[in-house]
Amino acid sequence: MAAPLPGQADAESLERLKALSLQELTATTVSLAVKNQQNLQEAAAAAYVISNEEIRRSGMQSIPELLRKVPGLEVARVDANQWAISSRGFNGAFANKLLVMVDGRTVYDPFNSGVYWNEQDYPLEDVDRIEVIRGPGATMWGSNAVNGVINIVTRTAQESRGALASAGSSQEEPGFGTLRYGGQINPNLHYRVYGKYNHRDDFHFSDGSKAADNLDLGRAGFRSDWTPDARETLTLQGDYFNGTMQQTLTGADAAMPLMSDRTQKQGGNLLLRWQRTLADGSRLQIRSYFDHASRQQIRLDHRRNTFDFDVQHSFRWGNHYPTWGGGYRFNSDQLTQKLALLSFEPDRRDLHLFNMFAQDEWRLFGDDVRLIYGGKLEHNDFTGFELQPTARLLWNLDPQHSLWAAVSRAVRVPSRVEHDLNLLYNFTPGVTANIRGGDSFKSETALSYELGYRFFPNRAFNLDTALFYSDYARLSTTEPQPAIAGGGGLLVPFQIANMAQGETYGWETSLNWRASEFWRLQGSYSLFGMAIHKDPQSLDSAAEIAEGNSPRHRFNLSSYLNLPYRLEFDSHWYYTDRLANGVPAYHRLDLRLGWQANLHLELAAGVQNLLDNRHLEFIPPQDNPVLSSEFERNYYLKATLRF
Amino acid sequence: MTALIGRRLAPWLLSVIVSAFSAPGSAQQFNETELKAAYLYNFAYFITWPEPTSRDFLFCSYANSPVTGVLARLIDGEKVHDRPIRLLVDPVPEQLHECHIVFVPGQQERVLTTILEYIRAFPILTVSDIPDFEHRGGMVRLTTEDRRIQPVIHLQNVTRAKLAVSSKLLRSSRIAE
Repeated sequence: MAAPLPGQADAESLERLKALSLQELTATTVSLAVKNQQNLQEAAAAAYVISNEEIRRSGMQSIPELLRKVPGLEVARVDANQWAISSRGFNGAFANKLLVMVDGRTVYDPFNSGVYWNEQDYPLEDVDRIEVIRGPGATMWGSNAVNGVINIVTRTAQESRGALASAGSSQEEPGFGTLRYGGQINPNLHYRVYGKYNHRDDFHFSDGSKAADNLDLGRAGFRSDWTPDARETLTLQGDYFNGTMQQTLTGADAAMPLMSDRTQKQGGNLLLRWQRTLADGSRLQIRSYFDHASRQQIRLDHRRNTFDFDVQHSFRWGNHYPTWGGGYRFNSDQLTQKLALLSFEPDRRDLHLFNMFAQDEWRLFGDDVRLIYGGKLEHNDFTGFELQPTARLLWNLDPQHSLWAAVSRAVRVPSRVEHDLNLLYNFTPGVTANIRGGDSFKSETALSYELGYRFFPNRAFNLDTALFYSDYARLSTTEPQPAIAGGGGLLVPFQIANMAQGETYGWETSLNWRASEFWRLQGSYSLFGMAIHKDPQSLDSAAEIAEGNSPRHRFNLSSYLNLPYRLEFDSHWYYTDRLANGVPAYHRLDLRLGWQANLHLELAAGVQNLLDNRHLEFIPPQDNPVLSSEFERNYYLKATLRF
Repeated sequence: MTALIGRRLAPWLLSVIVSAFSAPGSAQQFNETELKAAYLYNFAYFITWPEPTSRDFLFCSYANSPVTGVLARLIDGEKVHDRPIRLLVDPVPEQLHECHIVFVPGQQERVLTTILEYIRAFPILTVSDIPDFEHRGGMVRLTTEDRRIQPVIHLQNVTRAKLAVSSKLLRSSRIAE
């Protein structure tokens, strides 16, 4: 290899950088970004970003709670440590049409197509931003990104140097604390290590009795970034968590209506990412990770290992900015039956997922019009090949207005539950239901049409709106089969099938206004509607249940005020319309007073849900046995020290 | 079936990796961090300060931004109008008054109000990449739009601090209203 030593090349490019004139500086383009790092404000999609500063001033202590302010995203507390989060409908404790990632590592669990939100945590001070894309993102991110994609992006090790200690207490969380240290080994190699502990107390049921739904979770992790020169980055990061959570379950047996379950949770991951800008200005990213999770529950023990490998290449070809790549994911799980009534066949399974994708951004009319089109071809073990194409058009009318439109197809592939479940449920003495998954279950599909408009008359104000209409086919239903008599009772088999369709539509809008140097306002409103129709042959009485799980109207308003003496006064008001399944509408008002004592110390005090003793936010549908509890008024204190 | 795809995919992946490693490493492009640091370095020449108070030209920057690291290397051993340039990282409030340029990176947004409050009455150029910096009392915001870095200058905030911007810099910047 005749390549110059990194040190020499660096000094040389430094000299070149120093010699750039102002004019040259203005004309120089930044090396191409890998597609998924693009500026979301310029995207031809309904995008929203929660910044680190907004995270700090929200007063929230967990990632799921932070998502409340995103227009179009439904966030509901199921109990003290579980959430129901979805984008554009189909909400549930394990909402299955939303893809969630942490630094590109998917945390969507193929077991039930859901996200274990209480395992997703990080020192919030080191979360750079949370990017949310509503609507399909399957062409870039793959199947299951049907209604939205959330990517939690942590800061690089170089951006989180020094020691940080933060600790606090509230009624709901008597103890939470984070320790982080970031340092450098040499000017090109930085690292950070962290530890975090959370204890969440029990909530209460509507009758005032204490729910058994507390959580104790500790986690630790590290991240290191090596940048031998500005064109190359190698990142290695990993996390480990261990803890317990409690929940109250409705029994699978009518004779045992309630049971308390203590789940032991443990998991970890290791991720390696290499990015390089090539000589022609194109960018290459190779990413690989390993993820392990194990949950020991009253009904089932669940262990899962995932290995993922992914390559992406972006380049420029005239007016075209294509990105292409592919990946492979291996998923291996082991389910251990704990109750006679619940089993999976087989109890261990290895799944392979392959994908290839290509997407091009074609810039026309001096970059004012951009046509983005592409598709992803994926192969999974349950349903074979799936094609997920998209076509998007972005039109920058003038510096103050832009319009975009999109048509996309996305699929949600069957989960392990839908394919392999075998559940017995004693309805009444003598009548037993048997719910079974099967090989005949197909992927659910969605065809979505979106239209968006952005208005930014000046830097102090901007408005972002999106309209959407989505058409769903082959939605999941549970079909009763002819009953079988025998053994002194009646057995009613139920088969998980694809016998429903549906439509959703909605309007999402958000605005951001810097009213003065000291005051900033943010607001959002979303309207959502949904209709599910079961096939004429379908006998599932609960096929339309998803209609009842999403609010029609959601509204929120945040105010960030900087006061003299380095005080911050922030208020956040959230309104969620009633759910047709019986959850009443609720308002929530959060207030926070922060004091930046100096550059090192920050103190904050606040209250969440000020106007309400407590309220219910979600009732899980029948397929989830978790009993929901109510979110209470909560006062908190927090101190953060940085050196 | 999956094995078949694996066999087809493997040579393709290999070729991608090989072509990546064999690409020459002498790219002419700069990244966001480097360009931001280069702008900061240039501001030292295209801004006029009222009266030289100290012998050295003092850059102040807050760490946790890669920009600070690149800036340190850019100004190493350099001079502005025969005055040696020094870089002060993470200045305490008392030291801020001696700075000529203060850079507050987006990663340090939480202390922005505090910093601006301390230097309000002094002739210090404030630069940042915080999205609405100029509307929070800042002077020059470095924005990344369409793969280019551009300064956005709030002239009123600059002249209030008795600083003068050269016409050359104004021409390659955007003026905030």
